[in-house]
Amino acid sequence: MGMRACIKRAVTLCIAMMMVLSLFTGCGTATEKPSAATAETDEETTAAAQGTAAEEEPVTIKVLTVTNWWFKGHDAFAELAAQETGVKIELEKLPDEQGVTVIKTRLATNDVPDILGYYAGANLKSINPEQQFLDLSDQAWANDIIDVEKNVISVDGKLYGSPSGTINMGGVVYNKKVYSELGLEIPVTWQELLDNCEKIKAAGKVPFAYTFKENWTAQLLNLCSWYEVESNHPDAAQLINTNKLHMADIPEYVAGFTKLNELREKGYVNKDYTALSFDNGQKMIANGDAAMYFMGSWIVDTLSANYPDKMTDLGGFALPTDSGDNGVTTWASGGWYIPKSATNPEAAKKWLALWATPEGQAAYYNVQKATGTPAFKTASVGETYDIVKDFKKYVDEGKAAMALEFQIDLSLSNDLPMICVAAGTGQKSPEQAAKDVDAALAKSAKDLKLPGW
Amino acid sequence: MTKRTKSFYSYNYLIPGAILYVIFFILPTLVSFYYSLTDWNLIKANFVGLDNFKTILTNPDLNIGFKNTAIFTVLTLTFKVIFGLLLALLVNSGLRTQNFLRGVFFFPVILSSVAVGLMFTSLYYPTHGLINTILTFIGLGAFAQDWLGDPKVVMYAVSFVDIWKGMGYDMVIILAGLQSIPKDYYEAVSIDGGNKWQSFRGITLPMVRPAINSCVTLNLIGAIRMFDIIQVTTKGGPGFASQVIGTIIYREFADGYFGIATAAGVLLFILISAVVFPVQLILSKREVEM
Repeated sequence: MGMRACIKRAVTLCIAMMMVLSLFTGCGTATEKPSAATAETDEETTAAAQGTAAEEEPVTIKVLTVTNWWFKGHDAFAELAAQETGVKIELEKLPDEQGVTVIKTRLATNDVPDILGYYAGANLKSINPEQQFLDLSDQAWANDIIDVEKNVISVDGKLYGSPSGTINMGGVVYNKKVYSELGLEIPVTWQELLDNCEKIKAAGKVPFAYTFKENWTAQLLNLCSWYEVESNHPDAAQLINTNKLHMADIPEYVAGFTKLNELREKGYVNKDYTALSFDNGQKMIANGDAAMYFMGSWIVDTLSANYPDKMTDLGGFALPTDSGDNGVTTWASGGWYIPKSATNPEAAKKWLALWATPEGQAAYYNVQKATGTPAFKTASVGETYDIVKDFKKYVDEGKAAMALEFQIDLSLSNDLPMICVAAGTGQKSPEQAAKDVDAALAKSAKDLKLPGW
Repeated sequence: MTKRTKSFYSYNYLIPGAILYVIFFILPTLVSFYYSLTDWNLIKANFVGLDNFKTILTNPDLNIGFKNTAIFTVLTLTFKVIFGLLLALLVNSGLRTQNFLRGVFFFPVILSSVAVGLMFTSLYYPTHGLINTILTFIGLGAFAQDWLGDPKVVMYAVSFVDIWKGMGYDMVIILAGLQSIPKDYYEAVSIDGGNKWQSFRGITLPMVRPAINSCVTLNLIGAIRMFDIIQVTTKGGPGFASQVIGTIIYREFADGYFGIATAAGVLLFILISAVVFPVQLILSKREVEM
């Protein structure tokens, strides 16, 4: 090979390498910026920059969560935090449907915020919190969290988060105006509920709003039937977790699927049940087009923002059962977590410390009427909405069960909503649906390597 | 081809492309074969044998994806090619508006799948969507369906969306084939007294076969790995009624079942290879020389 050819070859190789490398650096800089394609980023420009209150250099931390989990109360708190601690936030809210997927992918690629708003309970356990998040057990506020909540944001006795909201409750949200116009009583048994539906239908209104376009709304009847399951099988959650009891063998659980389909088959739901979203459901129930909606108390947040004058028309009652012994299902709050590779963990801790104080909580509850019970012992909640008050009566009487996902290690992730839609549209028999829930639990158990599976 | 043109560009120019291709395509493909046999998460990967494949093939909520992919593939493949051929013949027939029509028929191809999906979600809306409104208006209310909500109808409805969007692409490929047919052949047919149908059967069809074969192969691969339109219109729902392999990979990955998702990806790879190679072999044997 001649000298010239040799040089030529070397030069070509060099150019080739440079082209490849420059491409990589291009990729690198591109990913450092938060991708704005799917996410809605709004910079909190609450100026603590005036510098009067903030003694230290103002820091900006990144907060990442899902749109449905960030309330206007959080905005108010963020403003307070910027003034008090000098910690400003750059908030990124992910769209609800893909939020969790995006969060998991971000964690997988180590593209993490300083504070992450994410689920508690089984869904937290399924993403290896001990590997992902800082242990916050030593924080001063750790003992201010109420016990039921603390359990679900801890793993193996270590606290990984701070509760981001309130303890919610669920059952049937109903339009009181429709009920009083038709002279209906709050149903206690399932048969009474069916009788009410018949009367509402006869009056030309939709008894139940079904909004299956957003899968998650389809699972509320199933989740709210957990109180009935637990009152008949007190240790059901424990047995399910250890593979000693299966959903398909619990008649009360299977009945939840039967009832979901029964209402649809009897024409007690809106015709476009597969095409409507949560927003549509809220509109129907607020305007009285629909009389009832299987939903959790978190609905009051967006409902009160969009239909403030209708809030007194709406109330709640526990899911009617065959036995008539009714109670609500409760959901622990999600948590704020600090990823181990966060850039500003100290500022994040400072932010969470203020959040846990009565002052921080007051900032939240002043603009944000409680959707449930507060997660901090020290927080005081003012006046709230009828839906919440109605549900809370059951909790005060001890008629409440913590939703299954907070009692077991297994996670049903996206499977349960889809199974509920399949059962609610008559594609799956109730028995098959329950079996599929068992299969989904088994899939999760295998993944987590739980003993007994 | 002369020697000069052969050695005009150095093969070294291939290096950047080849490196990227190996790093981002060949390597992940090979590695995924191993990971499909594990239950890998972000930290560790335990070998689990064929467990993931067993889960996919035995769980009815996962294996429905194969059935739906088959329905979707057969439908879209057949109708895209048929409509593509018909449209190509139409816009090659010397119509005054043919250039305009070519643009019109090709237009859906350049639209984003998300836009098309959203558009059809609104057209298909069960109570006041355009399609059902028109059907009711012209007295065919009995045919009105919950297009995307009825499990029995949904696969056909989403297939139609893909056919509508994709047939312009096939039209262009077949049109190119049509235009490369020398006019002499048609003259020969007409001199021999053949009619239109005979010239279509005897000349046009055999001569555009290579173009049609390309369409078949491209449509086949595109349909088996379909994801975007279904994700936008139904997300695989209602329930699991329109899950295809593509949406299942996405869902399992999103739920953190990386092993199952990878195994589904490997199955997709095997399926495409097992279908496309034989099909191409059979089709290319039947092509005729120009």
